[in-house]
Amino acid sequence: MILLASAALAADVGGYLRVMTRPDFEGGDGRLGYWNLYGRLLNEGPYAALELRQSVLDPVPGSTQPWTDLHAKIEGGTVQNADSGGGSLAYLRLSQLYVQAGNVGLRDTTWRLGTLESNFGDLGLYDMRPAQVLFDTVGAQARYQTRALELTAGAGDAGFNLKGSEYNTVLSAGATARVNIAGKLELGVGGQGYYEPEVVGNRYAPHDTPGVSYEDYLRGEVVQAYLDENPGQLADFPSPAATDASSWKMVGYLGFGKLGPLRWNSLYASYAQLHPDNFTSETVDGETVDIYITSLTDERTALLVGDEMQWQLVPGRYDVVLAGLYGVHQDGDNDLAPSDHDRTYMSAVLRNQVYLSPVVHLLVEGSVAQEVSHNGNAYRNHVDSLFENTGGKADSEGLEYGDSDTRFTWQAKGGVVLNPLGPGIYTRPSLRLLYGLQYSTQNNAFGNSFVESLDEYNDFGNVERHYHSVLALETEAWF
Amino acid sequence: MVLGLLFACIKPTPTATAEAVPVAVATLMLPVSGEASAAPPDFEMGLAPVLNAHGTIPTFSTSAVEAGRLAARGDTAQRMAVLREVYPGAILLVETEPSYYSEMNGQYRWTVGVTLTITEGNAPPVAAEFDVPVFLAYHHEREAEAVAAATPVVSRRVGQLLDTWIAGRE
Repeated sequence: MILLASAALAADVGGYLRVMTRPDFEGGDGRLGYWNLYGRLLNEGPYAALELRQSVLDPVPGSTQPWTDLHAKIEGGTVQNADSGGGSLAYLRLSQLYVQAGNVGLRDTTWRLGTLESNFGDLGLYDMRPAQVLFDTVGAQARYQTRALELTAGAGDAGFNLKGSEYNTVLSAGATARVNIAGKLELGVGGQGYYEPEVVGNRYAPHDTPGVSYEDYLRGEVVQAYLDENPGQLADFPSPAATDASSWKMVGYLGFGKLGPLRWNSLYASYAQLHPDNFTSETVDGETVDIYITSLTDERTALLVGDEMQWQLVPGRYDVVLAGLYGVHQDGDNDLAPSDHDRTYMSAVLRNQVYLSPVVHLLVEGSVAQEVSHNGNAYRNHVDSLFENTGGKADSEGLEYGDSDTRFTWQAKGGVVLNPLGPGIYTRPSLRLLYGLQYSTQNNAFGNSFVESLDEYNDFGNVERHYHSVLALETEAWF
Repeated sequence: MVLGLLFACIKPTPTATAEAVPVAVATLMLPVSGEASAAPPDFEMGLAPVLNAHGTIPTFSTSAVEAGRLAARGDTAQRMAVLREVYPGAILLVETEPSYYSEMNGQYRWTVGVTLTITEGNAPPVAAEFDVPVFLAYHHEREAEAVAAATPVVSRRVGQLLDTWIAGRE
C-alpha cells in the first residue's frame, strides 16, 4: 500500500467508484434482483477502481515524437461497511498492468505490452461489453488509429485467465477492425482464437478420461459406476489420455447516430465457442480421483446480442436510453440437465431522466426479462417446490431443479438524482435516492440467507414472496 | 423544504467590471495528433455566460488560420504576443490540450490540460493552469467532445480568473 500511495503521488490517477446502502426489509442482501439482465441499477454491489498512469515520455501536440507511459489498474467489488467483503484488500486485484509506446517505428501506431484488451464499447445500462477480445490475454498488441480507421492485433497467453492456479499455456491471438464513416456510422468486426497444446505429463494440460458417461459425470458418479463394473479395482481406473483444446470468439459492432434526437445507437454481437474445462474430482471411499473432461465440455457456445440507443428527446430537459439484450448458450454435450450453458435469455431496459434543474434530476427505469432453460426445470416458483424436479414432481434421481423452466422478471425503479456537473444520463458524479420494486415468477428471486427447507424442524419457516423492494442511497463517480 | 433548498441556486455573486469591457477571447485546441484548431463552438458558448456575468463583452474570433499561427508558437507568452499584435485591448487566451487516458469501466477517460491567461495592455497577465478529467460514452467521441465536456469546470475557473483580474484592475 505504501508503494501504491507513493506511485499515486507521482502518477496521473483516474478511477471509478460506486458505493451504496440499500436497507432490505425482506431479508435480501441489498440487491433488487439476481443480476444485470434486469439493468445494472440496484442490481450491482459496491465497486472501486483506481488506475495510475505514469508518463515516461509525454506526447507533444502536433508532433510525431515517440511517447510512452505505464498503466496499472487496481479494482474490486468491496467497500468496508457496504458489503460482506468488509473492504478487504483480498478482494482487490491488479487487473491491468501494461506499458504503451506511440510513434515508435510506425506513425499513428500504439504498441502495448502487458495485459491486453480491445472492445467496441459498452452497454451502459447492463454494464456489459459483449464485443470484447484479448481482455484475458497477457502479451503484445499493436493499434493503428486514425479518425476513420482503427486496427488492433494482439497475441499472447491466456492460460492464467482461463485456468487460474491450474495453469497451462493457452496461446491466444486476436484482432479487431473498426471503420468510422463521417462520424455518423461505425462498423467493426473482430475475433480471437485460443489453442491449448497437448502436453504429455502435465496434469493441468487437456486430457480425457476414457469411457466416461455424461450422466455419470453430471451426477459425480463416474468412479462409483466404474467400481460397480470393476469391484475392488480402483487402482486400475483408466488413465487420462492427453489431447489438445481450442476455442474461439467472433465479435461485431454497428454504430450510428447524430440523427435528430438519436444521439447514438450501438449494436454489439458476439459468438463464442467456450474453452473446455480440464478435470473434476470425485472422492470414493476416501480416495480422490480426477476425471478429465475436455471432450465432455468442448461443445459449449454462447451467442450474445446487445443494443443500446441514447435519445435526447428534449435537450437539457429529458433524455432516454433504451437497451436490449439477447443471449443463447448451448452445450452440445449436455441434453440431460439444466445449466448456465443451456439457456436463452432476453431483456429490455428503459431509463428516463428528467432534468428539473441542471443539478436535480428525476430518474425512472423499467425492465422486463425472460430466462428459459433448454434442459427442463431450473427455477422454483413456490415455497413447496423444494422437492420438485423432473416433470415438476419429486424424483430422487431427477436432474432438473424446481417446477419451471422459465423465469419472468420485471423491475421498476425511480427516484431523485443529484448531478453536480449537470444534465446527462451518464454524467457523473451522481448522488441518488432510489426505490426499486421487482416481480419475479421465481420465489424469493434475490440474494438472501433464507433457510430453505420443508423440514418440520425448520425453525425459521418458509415464505412465498414474488415481490421484492429496496430503498437505495448511493453514489457513483468516474474521476 | 428540502426540495426547495435543492432547487435554490447557491451561486456566489461574480465580481463585475465597473463598465463593460470588451475582451477578445482566443480559444485553442492542441490535440496530440492532428491539426490545431479553435475550441469547439459548444465550449465557446459555454464560456460566454460567465464572461457576460463579469461585465465583459466577449468576442470569440479564433479562425483556423489564427489557430495554426498560435499553435506554431511554442508557449503561452509567444501566443499572447501574436494576439497583442491584433487586439490592443483585453485578451483572454484559453489553451486546451486533450489527451486520451484509457477506458475506465465503460467510459473513455480523457484528460484536458487547460491554460487560462488574461491580460490587458502592458499589465502582467493573470493565469491559471489545470487538468480536467472528462468521460465520454463513445469511442468516436474524441478531442473536440473531450474539450466540450470540460466546459463546466473550465467555465467555473474562468470565472475565478476574472474575479482575480478585475480585482487587480480596479
